Amino acid sequence: MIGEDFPAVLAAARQGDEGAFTILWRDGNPALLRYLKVIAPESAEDVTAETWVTVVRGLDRFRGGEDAWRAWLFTTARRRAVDAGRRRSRRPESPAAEVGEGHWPEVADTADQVLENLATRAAIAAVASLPPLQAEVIMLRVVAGLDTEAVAQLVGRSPGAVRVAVHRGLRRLAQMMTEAGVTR
Amino acid sequence: MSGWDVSDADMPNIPGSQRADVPELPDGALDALLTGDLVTDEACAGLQPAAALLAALNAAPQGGELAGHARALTEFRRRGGMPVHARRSAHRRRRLLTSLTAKAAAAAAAVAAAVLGGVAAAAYTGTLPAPAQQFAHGVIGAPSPQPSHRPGTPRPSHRPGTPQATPARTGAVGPDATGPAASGLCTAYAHAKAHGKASQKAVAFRNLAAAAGGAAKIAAYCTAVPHPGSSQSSQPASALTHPAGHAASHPTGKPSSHPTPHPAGRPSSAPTTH
Repeated sequence: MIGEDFPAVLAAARQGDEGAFTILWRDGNPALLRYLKVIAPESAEDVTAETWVTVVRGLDRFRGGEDAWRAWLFTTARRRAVDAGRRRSRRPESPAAEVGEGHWPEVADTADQVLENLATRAAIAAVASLPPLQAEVIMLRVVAGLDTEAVAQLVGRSPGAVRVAVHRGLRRLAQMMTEAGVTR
Repeated sequence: MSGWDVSDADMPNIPGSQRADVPELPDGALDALLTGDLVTDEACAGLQPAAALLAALNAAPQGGELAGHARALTEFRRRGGMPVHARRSAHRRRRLLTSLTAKAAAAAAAVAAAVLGGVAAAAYTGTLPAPAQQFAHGVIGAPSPQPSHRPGTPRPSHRPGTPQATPARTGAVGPDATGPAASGLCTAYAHAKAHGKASQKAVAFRNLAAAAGGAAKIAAYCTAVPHPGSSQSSQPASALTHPAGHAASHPTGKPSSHPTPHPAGRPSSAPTTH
């Protein structure tokens, strides 16, 4: 989250300032990638890149604050993921489908970093194992940081249905954690 | 179902009653899980074990997740058609942004240090990294935690800001956890606490707790750090975001003079349609 600097950062990025764009990108890209690893695991990196292409081209037309910005980012990501899904279904034997899980390059990580990478990946894998709606709304609420109403709009469900799906998903995750022997 | 729900076709949802046995989760319960608070709602108490997983889900950016920057920047440079009015003020804006960018870069460096310092975050949640590792072991068959890395046994040698925590791949200089970056973390948390959503608050809190060396040390930490605007007379970004007289009190999180920036029209408790 960028916070109170967001309007100035956005304005500068819109005028071509690369530093400002980098702030937006660094803030949004990890969350986009994690979200897409859940809803489009076979092509998360490509779809993330395509999402930024769309966002960059639409930058001049975007209006709104940081909440609206994030909602737009993730709405765009979702659409690009659907496009990618359509492309894949036309070419089901695509070898590119092999790329994905566990494909993040790791460079000179400390031991702690490796553990944290592993924990994050395991957490993403756990969420991805949930039924799709539960997995998606949890990623949108937790990682994208969208509120229930924004998530409801994005996935085309009622806020009540989103809260139920979050609850169901969290119950399963809590259960998985218990079964994995994690105690607090 | 929305028009673009093709992904649902890829991964069919489990049919059947979606809300027969599970009630709606109050937004506050998820907020509590994200901020590391105990879930007080009795019906949701069983969700507590998920908190560590959510923390891992929301961990600060990792190396590979910042790998696509060059590609995105290339696209950004390629975009043409800067609006005319923009060109006129571009110079002034750029001056503002130079300072603004430096500030954000410092904050980003602190966050990177915090995450590389991992153990500080573990001290905060009391769960990472060993339980997360245990979890990874259970879920994806990763090696189980080494005996020396028990839960609640932080390794204090890896503090944020120490040389070995410097992330070479980001090109960032060694983050100074007591400088402007620290102030940025304190400010970010104060702001998120006052105006942000719970998830934003959770992120800001985790970053800050990691940098401070534990949740209990936040207050002392933020009291001790100098505000970057306090030592320099001319700071465009400071002037932009901290009106006169406001800067000194900001890190302690008293937002009384802030207008609430939330967009209008969002009901605080949404009507449920079922």
